[in-house]
Amino acid sequence: MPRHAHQDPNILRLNRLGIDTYREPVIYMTADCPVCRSEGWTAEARIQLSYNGRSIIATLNVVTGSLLTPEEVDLSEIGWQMLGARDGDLVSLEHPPPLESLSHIRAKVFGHRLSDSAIKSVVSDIVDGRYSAIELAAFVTAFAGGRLDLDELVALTRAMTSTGERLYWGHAPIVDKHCVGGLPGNRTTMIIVPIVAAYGLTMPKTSSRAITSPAGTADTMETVAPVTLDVSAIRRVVEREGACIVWGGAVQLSPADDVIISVERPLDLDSHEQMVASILSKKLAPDRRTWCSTCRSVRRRRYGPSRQRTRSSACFAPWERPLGCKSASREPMAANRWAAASGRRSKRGTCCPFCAESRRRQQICATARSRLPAK
Amino acid sequence: MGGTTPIRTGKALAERLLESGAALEKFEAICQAQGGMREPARARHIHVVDATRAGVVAAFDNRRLARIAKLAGAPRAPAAGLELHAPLGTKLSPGDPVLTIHAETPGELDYARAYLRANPQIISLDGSG
Repeated sequence: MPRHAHQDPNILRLNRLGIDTYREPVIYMTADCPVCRSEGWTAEARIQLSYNGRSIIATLNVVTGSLLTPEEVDLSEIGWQMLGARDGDLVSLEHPPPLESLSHIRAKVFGHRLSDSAIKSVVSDIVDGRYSAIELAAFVTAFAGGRLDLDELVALTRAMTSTGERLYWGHAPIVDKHCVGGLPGNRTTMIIVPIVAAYGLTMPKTSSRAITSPAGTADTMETVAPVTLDVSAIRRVVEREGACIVWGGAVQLSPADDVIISVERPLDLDSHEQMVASILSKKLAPDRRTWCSTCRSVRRRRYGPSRQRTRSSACFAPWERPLGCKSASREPMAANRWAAASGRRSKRGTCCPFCAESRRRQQICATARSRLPAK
Repeated sequence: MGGTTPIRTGKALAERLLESGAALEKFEAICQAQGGMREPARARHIHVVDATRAGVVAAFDNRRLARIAKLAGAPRAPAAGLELHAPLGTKLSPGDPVLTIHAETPGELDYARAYLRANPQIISLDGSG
């Protein structure tokens, strides 16, 4: 049965005004909108919008005057993108579930240690867009200034990495460079990457665009070549030339970081903790594990040529889900941990879990060193 | 890091790759693979800033230098920004070019020039030459 705007008071019509709020979704409603009144929403309230199976959380801005009728709502441009809605579509509004992980932020402010799962829940709520800009600012502040111990920092990095997309390269080592930056016009990436690649090492490099500076490496590189490449194009470039210099924002390596950066910059608060987690969450994304040729062909057969997986997918990399094991933990499992869990002893020279299964495969397995191009 | 060359030989190796042209060739190949190498665009309006007195370039105020580039339209306009002609240590005589401001609109060019005029200490010169 088709639903109409007037049957359910919490369903309103979307009217696109075209307002850019950068990354934070904002919803605009009139002050005398019936939903606002019945739900008790006032400006800055957080509202969950659902459309066609998708839902996002937006901050309410109240409109007076004649921009919208009481039956209409507008979203800022990022909201339209996230929801995938079109002008005139109907959207349903409700109170979002309470943000439980905010209590961990409070705990950190008052000097408590956070568990791995607490940090994980904070990061996953951030990635899901459940934090408002104000709450994100509290997160960035609470996690700065030396308030994290090493374990917490590792947990934060892990949580940020696991929410992103990971790229797998069929060999090792995969090398990388990173500069803290700060000097305008200082473009080390565009010099170092070709040197290293000319030597035969593999360096798939992603760079950022400027947020507050006059130019990021991706902006500079774009003046001489395209940098907005998708994952399969990046793979093609790296397989052909051993390196790339592309815009990291085009591939979601660390969606948590993309969100966090958007509040960190206006605050001008680049904490060491956040910097370490932010950098590593992108660097761990290009996977450094070694695969033997057998395992690579197994992976290709199982997952297709791209060999790149997202963590949210039901399909896991072999070391995360041993063959035949249906109840495997979703935690990534290193080769030796997998071997231990499955009752096998980790063997020297083993380059991936499959190898632990059969000696024959172990023999086929080439080490990283012998794989390097001869110089 | 790659463990492919003995410790302390990396720098010489990197210099060899630069001087032989292998690194440049690789850079061009990466550009081609990413969709084609192109000439950077030229901005529509430029203004050359000359030295008003003699001296040796002693220091740059990076934060303010970046500010000029942003006022000129960077990074939104890819060809906007500034081009430095006098790196640290350059001996300048009055009238020598110090930098060129590139902008896509006359308004942005004026904005950047006005900021530089108001902040002449962005480039500090030592001595009177």
